[in-house]
Order: sequence, then C-alpha cells, then structure tokens
Amino acid sequence: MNASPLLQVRSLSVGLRTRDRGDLPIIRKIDLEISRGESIGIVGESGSGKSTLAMALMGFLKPGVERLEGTVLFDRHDMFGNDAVTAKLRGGAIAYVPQNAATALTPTMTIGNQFDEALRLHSSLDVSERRGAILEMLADLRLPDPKAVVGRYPHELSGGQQQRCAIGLAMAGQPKLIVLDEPTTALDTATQASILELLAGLAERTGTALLYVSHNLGVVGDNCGRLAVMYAGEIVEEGMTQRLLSAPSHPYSRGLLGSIPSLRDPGIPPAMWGSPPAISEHITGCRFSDRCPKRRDRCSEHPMIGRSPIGGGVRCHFPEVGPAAARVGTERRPTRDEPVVTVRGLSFLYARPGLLSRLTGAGKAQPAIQDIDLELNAGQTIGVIGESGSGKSTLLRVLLGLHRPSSGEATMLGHDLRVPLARRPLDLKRQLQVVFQNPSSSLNPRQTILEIIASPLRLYFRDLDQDAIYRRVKGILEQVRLGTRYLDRYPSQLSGGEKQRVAIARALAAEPRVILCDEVTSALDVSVQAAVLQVLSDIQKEHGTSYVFVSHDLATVRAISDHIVVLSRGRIVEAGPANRVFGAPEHDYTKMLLEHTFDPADIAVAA
Amino acid sequence: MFRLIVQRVALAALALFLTSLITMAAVEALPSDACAAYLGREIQPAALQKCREKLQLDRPAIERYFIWTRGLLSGDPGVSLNSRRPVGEVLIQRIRNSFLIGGLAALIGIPLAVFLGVYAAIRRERFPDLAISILGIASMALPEFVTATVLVFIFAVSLGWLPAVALISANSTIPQMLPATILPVAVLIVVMVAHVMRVTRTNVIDQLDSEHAEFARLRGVTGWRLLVRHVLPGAVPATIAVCAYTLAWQLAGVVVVERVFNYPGLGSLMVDAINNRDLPLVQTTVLVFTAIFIGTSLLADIAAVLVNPRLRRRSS
Amino acid sequence: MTALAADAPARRQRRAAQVIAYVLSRPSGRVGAALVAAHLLMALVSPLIAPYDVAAQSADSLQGISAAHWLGTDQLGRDVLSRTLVGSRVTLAITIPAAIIATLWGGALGIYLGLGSKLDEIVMRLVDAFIAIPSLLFLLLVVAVFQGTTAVIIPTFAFFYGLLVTHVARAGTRQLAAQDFVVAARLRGDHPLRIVFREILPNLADTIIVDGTLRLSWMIVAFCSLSFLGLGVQPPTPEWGQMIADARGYLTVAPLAAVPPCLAIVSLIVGLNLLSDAIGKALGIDTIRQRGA
Repeated sequence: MNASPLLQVRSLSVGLRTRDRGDLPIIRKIDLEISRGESIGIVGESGSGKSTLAMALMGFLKPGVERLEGTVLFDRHDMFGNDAVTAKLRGGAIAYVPQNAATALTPTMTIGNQFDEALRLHSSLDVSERRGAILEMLADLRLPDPKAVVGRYPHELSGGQQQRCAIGLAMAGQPKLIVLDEPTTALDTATQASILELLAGLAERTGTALLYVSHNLGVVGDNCGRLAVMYAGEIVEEGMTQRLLSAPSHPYSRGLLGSIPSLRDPGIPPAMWGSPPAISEHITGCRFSDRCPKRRDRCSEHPMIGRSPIGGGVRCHFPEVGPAAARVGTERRPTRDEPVVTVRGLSFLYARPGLLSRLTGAGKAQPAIQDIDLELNAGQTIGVIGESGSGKSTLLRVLLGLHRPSSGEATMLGHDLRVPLARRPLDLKRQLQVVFQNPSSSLNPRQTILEIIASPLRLYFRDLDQDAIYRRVKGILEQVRLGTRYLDRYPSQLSGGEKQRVAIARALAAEPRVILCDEVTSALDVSVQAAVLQVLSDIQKEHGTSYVFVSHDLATVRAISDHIVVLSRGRIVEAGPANRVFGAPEHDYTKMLLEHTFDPADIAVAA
Repeated sequence: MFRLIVQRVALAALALFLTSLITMAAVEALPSDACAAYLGREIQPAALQKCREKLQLDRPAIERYFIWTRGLLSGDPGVSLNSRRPVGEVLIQRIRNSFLIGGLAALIGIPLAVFLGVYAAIRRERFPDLAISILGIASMALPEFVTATVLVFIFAVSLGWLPAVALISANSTIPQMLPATILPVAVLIVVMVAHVMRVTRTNVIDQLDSEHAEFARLRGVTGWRLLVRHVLPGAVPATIAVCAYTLAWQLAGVVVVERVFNYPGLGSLMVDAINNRDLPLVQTTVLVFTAIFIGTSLLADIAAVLVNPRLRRRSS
Repeated sequence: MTALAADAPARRQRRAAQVIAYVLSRPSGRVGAALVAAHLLMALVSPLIAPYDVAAQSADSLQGISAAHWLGTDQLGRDVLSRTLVGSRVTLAITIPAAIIATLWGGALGIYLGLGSKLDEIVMRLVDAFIAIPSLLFLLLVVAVFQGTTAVIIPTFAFFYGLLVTHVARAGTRQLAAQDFVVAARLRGDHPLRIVFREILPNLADTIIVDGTLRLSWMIVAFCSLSFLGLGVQPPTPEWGQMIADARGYLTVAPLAAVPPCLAIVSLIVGLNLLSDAIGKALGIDTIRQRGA
C-alpha cells in the first residue's frame, strides 16, 4: 500500500443549511481513505447518506446541498477547491457510474457521440484515433456489433447494455478511481453477474481503484477487500470484508447481517424494528441507540470511532462479536392437506391489443404463462421464483381475474377462478386478497391509515358500526406491529416498511383465506424486509392464511415458503418442497439462480 | 412515425369539417339574412325576394352548403354577398396582410422569447430570472386590447410617433403598410413572448435538473458544451409545441388587434362579415382561419416528433 | 372514539387551513389573494357604494378627475368610478358559473373516459377536433347569433372550456387508475362510484383546482375581449372591455377614461395567476412533509 492514499476524506459533513433549523447534515464527519488499486465497499440502507457521499467524493453536491465541513482530497487535490480543476478531474482521473444508466445517459445523443465527447475531454487522441478507440472500447465492454451501437441512441439498448456503456464512459478517461452507485440494482441476476465480472476484470487489468456504494451485501461482499457500513449519515463500522461479514461488532451491522435471509439456514431472519432518524432530528447521543437492543446509559453520549474486536474501526461504546440471533420459525408448522387453491394447466397467452390501440402505439403485450399447475393448501406458502418477464406477475393477475385465461382450470374453495373480476361474487373477492410491490402507490395518499384499513371492513362487514370498525382497525394494526398513533397519519408520513405493513393490514382486514404477495419485499431495505416477513409469518400462524409469495429474491422466498415453483419464460421449470428445490436443484436455471444468490452463511464458512 | 402524421391529418380534416358545419349552422341561426342587412330596414317584399333569388338565399340550407363546398373544392368559394366581389379575391389580400403582422411577430417574438427563457433558466432565482419572470406574468395577464390601447396611448397619442389608426386599405403594397404594422406587431409580440418564454424556462430548468445533465456534469462536461449538447436538445420538443400552440392561439388575438388598429386583415374581415351576415364570406373566412390554425398545430406536432429521437425510431 | 365520522370533515378543514397558511406565507400568494379578494368584494358591494347610477348620463362628458367625479366621466357623461366598480359584476356573473359548469361537465366526462370506456377513442377525437378550432372564433359566432342575450354566453363558454377540463381530468384519471391503490379498490369489489369519489376525485381535485383558477382568468379575458368587440354585454350595463372600447375613440381628448378599466382587468388577471401559482405550490408542497431525508 502506498504511503499517500489516492483518496482521502477528512471529517466530511454535507447537508442542508436552513435559516430556521440550522444545519441539517446528510452525512456527518466522514473519514475515509482509498489506496491505489483497492476495491472498497460502502454499505448502507435508505437514509444512510451513501449516495450523497458517493457524489461528494466527486466534489459534486445536489442543488440546495452544501458542504458543511471537512475535505475531500483526491490525488492531493481538494475536490471542493478550484471548480475548473475539479471539473477536469471528473470523468477523467476520477469517474462515476450511476445507478440507472437508462436515465443517466443523454437521450438526445448517440452512444458514439457520448463516447467521443468523453475522449475529447479526457484524452489527447485526434478524430480518427478516437473513432478507432471507441470501437475498441465497445468491444472490450462485450457489446455486440460495436459499429451499430455507435450510431444508436440510449433507449435503443437493453438495460445491461446501457450499464456497460455507462461503465465504458467512466473508463474512457483512464481513471484512477471509479465510484459506483448501486451499479447493478436495476438489472436481473444473470446480467448483474456479468457486469460485476466485467468490472472486476477491467479493474485488475488497469489497476483502477473501485468504490462500490450499495445496499446489496452480495455485490460488495464478493468484490471488495474492505467494507464500511453507514447508518444515519455516519460510518458505524469498517474493516476487512471477510472479517466484517463473518463477525460484525456494531449492533447495526450485526442486525443488518442478521436480517438477511439465508439459503442454507432457512427461516424468518430476526428483524430490526424502528427506522433511521430523519436528517432534521437532532440527536446528541448514538444515532442508533433508539433501536439498539443493547442500549445503556452511556449511549446518550455520542461514540467516536474506536478499534473493533476484529481489527477494524467501530463507532460504539460496547462493540461485541457474537453469534447471530437465531432465525425464527425454522420448523414449518405441519399443514393440513386441505387444498384451497387448485390450478391445472393454466395458460394465458399474449393479450393482443385492440386495433386502435396498436395504431396509436398503446397497449403493451403481457408476458404469457403456459401450463401452470399449483396446489395451495391451507396455512401454507407457495413461493414463486422468477425474473422479470417470467410471467410471475401475470400469473397473479390471472388468478385475480384481471385477465381471462385461454385454457386450463383454476378453482378456489369451490369458486371458479377463470371468471373475470367483474362477475365474481363479493365473498370470493374477500377471500382472495393481494399486496403489491410498491408501498408508495398502493396506499391512497389522501386517506389516513384508519380510513385505508376501514375501507375493506366497511365493504365486507356491513353490520359493523363506527366504534366496532375503530376497534378492529386498532386490532389489525397491532398484528402488523403498528401502534395506534399511526391511525390518523397519512401514507406520506410513513416509511416504506411501515407502508407495506399497512398494505398487509388492509389485506388482512378482509379475513381472507389467501393473500397473494407480489414482490412485497423487493422495494424495501434488507433490514426492513425481515420485519415484513415476520409479520406475514405471524399472521399465517395465527389465522392459517395461505400465501402465494412471488419474488425474484431466492433467499427471501426460501425464508417463508413451504413449496417452491420456479418460473422461466412463462413455464414452470422446477417445482417441489422448499428444502428439496434449494438443497438439490434439478434444473439448470434454478442452479444458475442459486449460484448468484448471496448468502451470509457462506462468508461465515469461508472465514 | 407515419402513423402519427396520418392520424393528425385525419384529425385536422375532421376539425375542418366540423368547423364548416358549425359556421353554417350559426349563420343560419342569425335572425336576419344578408339581403335584409344589405337593403336596410325599409324594403319592399318584392325587392327582398328578388335579392334573395339572385343570391340563392331561397334555396334550402343544405343545398346551399353543398353548392358552397363544391365551389370551395374547385377553387371558387362564391361571391361576397356584401361587396359582390369574388370571395377569393378579397381573401387573398387580407390573408397577406394578416400574415404580414403575424409573420413579423413570430420572426421577432420567438427567437426573443426562447433567448429570454433560456437565459432566465440559467440564471435561475437570481435577478435576471426574477425580472424576466415578473415581466412575463404581467404581460400574460394583459389582454391584447389592453396592451393595444396602452401602446396606442403611449406611442400615438402622447409621443405622436406612430399613427393611431392605419390609413391604409387592403390593397396597399407591403412597403406602404409597414409603418402601420409596427404597433400591431408589438402587441402580438408582447403576449407571444410571455407564453413562450415561460414554458421555455420551465423546460430548460427541467433539463438542467435532469439525471442525464447531472451525469454529464459528473463526467466533467461543463459550460457551453453541457448546455448545447445535453440540456437544450431535451427542451426543444416542448418548446416547439408551445411555439406552435401560441402561434395558433395568436390568431384569436389577431382578430382583436386588427380591430383596434383598423388593420385590414383576415380577422377584421371576419368580424365585418359576421356583422353583415355575409354567409359565403363568413364561411370561407372562418374555414381559412381554422385551416391555418390547424395547419400550424399539425406542423408543430410533426416537428416535435422529428426532433425527438425516441419517437423517430422505435425503441427496442 | 367516533374517529371515523368526525375524521373526514375535520381532516379536510386541516388540509384547507394548511393550504391557506402556505399561500399566505409567500409574498406572491399574499398579493394574489389580496387582489382576488378585493375584486370579489368589489363585485358584491359595488352597487351599494358606487356614487352614481351607472347609466346616469350627464352633460359633463369626458371630464378628468374632479371632486364630483373622482375618476372622471366617459363620453356620455357617466361616472367612470362607478362604472369601473360595477364593471366586474357582469363579467364575474358570467364567467364564474361558466367555469363551475365547465369543471363539472368536463371533469365528469374526463373521469368517465379516463376509467376506460369503449367510447374513449371516438370521444377524444371529437374533443381534440373541437379544441383545434380557435375558441374565440366560435364565441364570436355564437354571440353574434344571440346578440342581446348574455345568458347564452354561459353555456357556450362552459362548453368550450369544459373540453380543456376533459383533457386534464382524463389524463389525471388514467394515471391514477394505474396506481396500485385504485387497482386494490377494484379488486376488493368496491362500487365504481365509490372508487371515483373516494380514490380518484380526492387525488384529482388538486390539479383541477389549480387549473380551474387559470381557466377562469382565460374566460375573463375572453369575455372582456368579446365586450370590447361589441359582442358581449349591451349598454348601458358597464363592462371593462366595453369601457375600454369606448374610451379608445377618445384617447387624444380624455385618456384617463381608459385607465381605470385597464387597471381593473390587469389587477384581477394578475391576481388570479399569482393565486393559482401559489395554490399549486401549496398543494404540491403537501407531499414533502415526510419522514427522513
């Protein structure tokens, strides 16, 4: 390691400067060092400030955000000093890869022109040299048919190709350091893997340092030598990746790792209840203390970074390495063999948009599903695994009556599920509920939580009076572990995890036999996912509700499912009891998915 | 892309058809007719009848509609009942005159508005932006006739630089007309600039705040290059749309402006025709007016499609 | 205990109060609100406080400012101050009902189409075709036809401006209908009308209100323009556009006669624009009071 680090961050605080409420830091007194050729990862969930930090390393702040204190020195240049020099370095010696290349690439410029611009700004090649260099770069990025790509616009490429271009633009200036903000979040599993592989290869060849900012421990776990964990704007722990992942010492890091579902160690992971403080909250002590299970008096004093038991740094008065908390519900409750939903040979082919719709360019085709067989018993959970385009959401929509199947059968408790929604009896609608992926759009922003949960009660249980409804809503909220103070709040005042629990409460209010869960954890932070899984599991134990749990995340599905169905391109490629499918997968596709799933248990074994 | 164009053209045709129907219906509903208006109050029934026969007013409305439409399509929209001159002849001059002020207003106004909008966006929230924005709001709030009256007062009455009323006829040559166009053009520009400037400013600000502009900055793109290659192109489609929309909407303003200044254009012709119950003239004038309006919108839509690479080529 | 019953109106009041507070906290909002309020007040009480009968002619025509006539007289000797104060009554009496009707019918049609109907394509093509026709044109025609009856202007305005509302309402409804919470209500089995009134309308109302205020200002301009051209109100009813038209002929002699109505129009329109901007920001601001950064 070099004596002088490539990037040196000292006591950096960045945030909002308000007139009436003082300084509101988004990141607080960050210290960080990166050496040449290193790969380090910054892990954090929403609200941790990691994206703000990533941009601040480039000397870049969003409008309204200011540097409150501290410095960022890149190659001994102050990134907040001379604007002209900083601008020259950006895209050159220090480069950035954005989260969503689809919106980050300029839509009105061709790929070729954007690359040409990068070379013009950051290299001394002349026009003809540039042309050749661009084709070479596109080939290195493993883009098919570079000559054609040069003339294309960003929206004409696939997500993976767009991301490769973004990476290519970063490499064009032959950077010494690349900052990557969630580089693979928007991509599917197979593409993720190839992008990460590409990056690792490029970095090794050129000796470029990489800084990964991500909430996905799998991404950073495999690719970084050192990790730093961020919470509420601060670095709470840092150290060598292997050691940190196998024996974290900060309560938050432990909780975070503990809340990741494991393939090998099934069961609902323990949840961390509560949520991170808002930037406007002034907290004098430890910022994690209100959620910390080990809180003591001393924690009202703000901890500094000290030496951790595993050799890195940790910001805690009482760091402790210990065994991970046990996973809950490892033994599945024996379920009765009482089929609730039966599906045989269900197919739904592409919905052809009407003539007029096609003329006007509207009406996207839905992915098809073919020959689906399912049997859902009472109190059981079937996990449906599939990537985007696999038809998993279509399957749910057909079951809900939004699409008319083209062949096959489906019944639930004696009702025919092929009947379209409009003609279904109210009781069937009551028995079959659904929870959606996006917590923000699944709740009416103009209704209070009380009204949202009361709506199904009023619809299905007409003889309840106001007071009875009120009491029931309270009871239901308790079951999703939300207190009465949520009753007259609006969705905009809740966090993602809380909103999702309200959505579950709303489904629960109908007292259904079956709840369809459509990627209900996918839009949430890892530690919050565990809370939702916990709530779902509690409800199932208490009421014997059955779930069809759809997700692309294998570990989450594993944690909650009894049976598994793997979908690919509309067909079932593998099905069976969860233990069997995960323990001894038969189909290649399943094996591929399993390979690319991060499992914290793996790290523990390796260390 | 062709689909869109065909759609728009079909829409335009439908609109024109509707227009002609409504116009016909409206004029039919007028209490008196051209003959009565022309001949005055004290007339003998015989003279009235003769006039009507001559002008074909005794035929049923539907028949007259078809006569007119046939005539229109073959290039002969009939004869003005009031002045007895062929409608076509009257129209051409008036159209020329209206285009003169409209065209000048557009030529000066649009570049000015776009420039002001971009400038205000770049200097967001600072003095140039605030000044421009306030002026914009103020001028948008002024109806044309108010602006016209104010300008007439300042420049014609107080300062005496320009004539308050155009002493020209419809047949004057363009050079003769130019001095008379100054005030009308100024009024048209005021309203046009306000609208276009405001929308341009909003669009450019959206682009400046966009993710791709941010990413460009993070790649070291700054200054002119950032503005010209990454920011402005994205603002173009919406700006073109508002330009066309404003131009088209100006046609309504033109009517008022021509009235105020007694300018012999299409707008004042139309108002006179309505007052005179001059059916063929009214119908044709309204139709021409509407056609210009729709045509401009159509050009704008097409331009917006051409400029937007996403619509030009299909995405994968 | 009776949280549900008391909840809805109390909640609406809280929100309305929040919006009003926000609007009044900004200078542009204060100015806008003050102007609009002043005009509404003026429209209501002017017949009581106007010094002269608006139709009363006198021999003192085109006089400037004097003790008897604070703002002078017009060409028929009528008091300018009185006529200006009363001038907004007709305009507002016509445009406010027209705006309300336009919003109601346009909104209803827009929501109906936005929820998905086989008629959608055809109706929207018709709507677009009508919008393509310059509105002033047809206002002219219609008004010319029914000269003398100002009452017919209301339905005409309501029709044309309602088309614009249809556009906005339809676009908003389509976007809302795709949101999961509306889908959830459909899946639940809620009655369609219930969905419209509980899920869609509350979320659409904001856009329509802001839009509506702007639309009102357009209508006022259009009506004044019509009066200016001699096609709106009939004398002796005072109306600003018509007053300006009258004064135009005498600008060299008595310029002052044109000033009060001009100021009146401008102040009302500017006030409405500022107010609509401020309300728009206030309603948008609502979503920013969230947890976390």
